[in-house]
Amino acid sequence: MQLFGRAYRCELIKLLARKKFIVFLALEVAICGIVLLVQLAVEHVSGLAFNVNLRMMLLGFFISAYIPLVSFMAVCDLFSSEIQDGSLRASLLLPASRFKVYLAKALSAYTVAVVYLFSLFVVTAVLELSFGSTLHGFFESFGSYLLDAIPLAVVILMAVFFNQILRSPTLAMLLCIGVLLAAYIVNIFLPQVGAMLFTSYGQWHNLFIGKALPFLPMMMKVGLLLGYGTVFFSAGYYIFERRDM
Amino acid sequence: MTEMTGVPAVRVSNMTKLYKNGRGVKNIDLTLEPGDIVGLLGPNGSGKTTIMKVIVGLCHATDGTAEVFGHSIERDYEAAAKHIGALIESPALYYNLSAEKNLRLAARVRGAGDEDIARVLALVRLDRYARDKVARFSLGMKQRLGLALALLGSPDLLVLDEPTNGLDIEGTVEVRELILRLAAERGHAFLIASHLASEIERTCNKVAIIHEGELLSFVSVAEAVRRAPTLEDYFLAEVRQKRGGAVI
Ligand SMILES: Nc1ncnc2c1ncn2[C@@H]1O[C@H](COP(=O)(O)OP(=O)(O)OP(=O)(O)O)[C@@H](O)[C@H]1O
Ligand SMILES: [Mg+2]
Repeated sequence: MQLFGRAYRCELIKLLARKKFIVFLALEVAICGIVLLVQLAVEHVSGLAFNVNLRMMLLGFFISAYIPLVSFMAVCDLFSSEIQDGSLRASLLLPASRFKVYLAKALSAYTVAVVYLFSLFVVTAVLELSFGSTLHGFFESFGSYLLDAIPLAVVILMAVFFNQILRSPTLAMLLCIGVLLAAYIVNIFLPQVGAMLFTSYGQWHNLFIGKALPFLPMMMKVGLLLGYGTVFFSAGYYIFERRDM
Repeated sequence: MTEMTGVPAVRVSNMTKLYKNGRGVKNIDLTLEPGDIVGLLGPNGSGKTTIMKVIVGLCHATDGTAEVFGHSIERDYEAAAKHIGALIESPALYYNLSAEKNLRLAARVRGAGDEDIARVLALVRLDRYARDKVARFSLGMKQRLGLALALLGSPDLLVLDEPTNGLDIEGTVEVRELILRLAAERGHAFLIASHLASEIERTCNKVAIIHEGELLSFVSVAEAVRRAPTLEDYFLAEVRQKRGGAVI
């Protein structure tokens, strides 16, 4: 357990050493600011007060596009890039088992995603407060963020799995984006098929928040998500564990 | 690190490792006692690196076993790996980090402290460049950093694949002296791959001759140079005998 904690911290340190994860976080904050400014300008010109819930308005975009992309970068940095330049051997020569290394890498990519998600919540809430909003629906929106953190884990496990089957970081990144896009498109045109894909929960807070919870369908969706997560995690680990480095 | 008495540092039994293309090594038996400096001598592509990769757990053996201080590398990886410091092929480094940060990451997992980082940096004479990014290192500097990483935490088995690759004359001599000192004073065991017989003759007390994935002989260097004028002659004789007396 102690060894896992150390391995996990090493992976996080490696990610933080890459400036792009700080830059993209700053960009996230900037996007929030710009959206708020646009909204204020529209209100000023039209003379109407929308009192928009910035937290919920931006969650959709960030959870379905921005945060998955940043997480894919983190996963590709920690897996396929390290395999390609040989630095993965540095972790594998240390006395932490391959399982711990695998889990530490996946978990630190997820940590980045969660940090981005909750930074979004904090930044939008602070912006709303400082411009006189009352933060209506605070708990509901916080609940939405919490719920969306769950399918995000499966999206990351999918990326981890793709990183095991493709050796090139560029190809792995493209495959991740391609599959995510394809799933969104299937979702629009073939919703009955889309319901079987985990990505249809990219915004799955919509399924729960503000609605009566239908118990059985919800359990089925949770089960489906768990199933995808387990398959991606174990298939990825199987390849990672058997691989000759 | 404490070594258990009577337990060999490495025991490889009837080990076979075949890659998907059918190449690799077959039926290798090798034992290293603490304090041994064993040289793996063989031509390019003979299987030296493959044997090392199985011992340190980077590759899984197709058959047979490898144990480090009594711990199976397959079944008890963490207990075995605590004893191992390794430099396999080109050093595994994070190019976007400084030398010191590379060492700090490894030290974190190994549980080694700052003074140990300073110690190994001084040992390989990289202390002046500790804060430089590895991406701007020369070949020899990267090799030195790879050696420093292997030495971190004073593991009692060192698996070094062509350790003097890219090193200057002084560096080569220093590494040889360091190996001899650590083996004599601390009883560390060394497994060293090289295709230079002279290098092994000067450094090692035992030599394993690898040829086309097979272990041709495993004898003390003293015995080898008794049977032939130099280790190089001994090596050539073994390889020619294997080829059925054919002279190249
Ligand atoms: N990942 C791999 N996949 C397939 N074959 C491999 C792989 N690595 C090595 N081989 C093959 O296994 C054999 C042994 O290779 P190995 O790297 O162990 O040789 P070596 O003795 O270390 O050579 P060198 O002196 O050039 O370093 C070679 O025939 C090589 O082609
Ligand atoms: Mg080699």
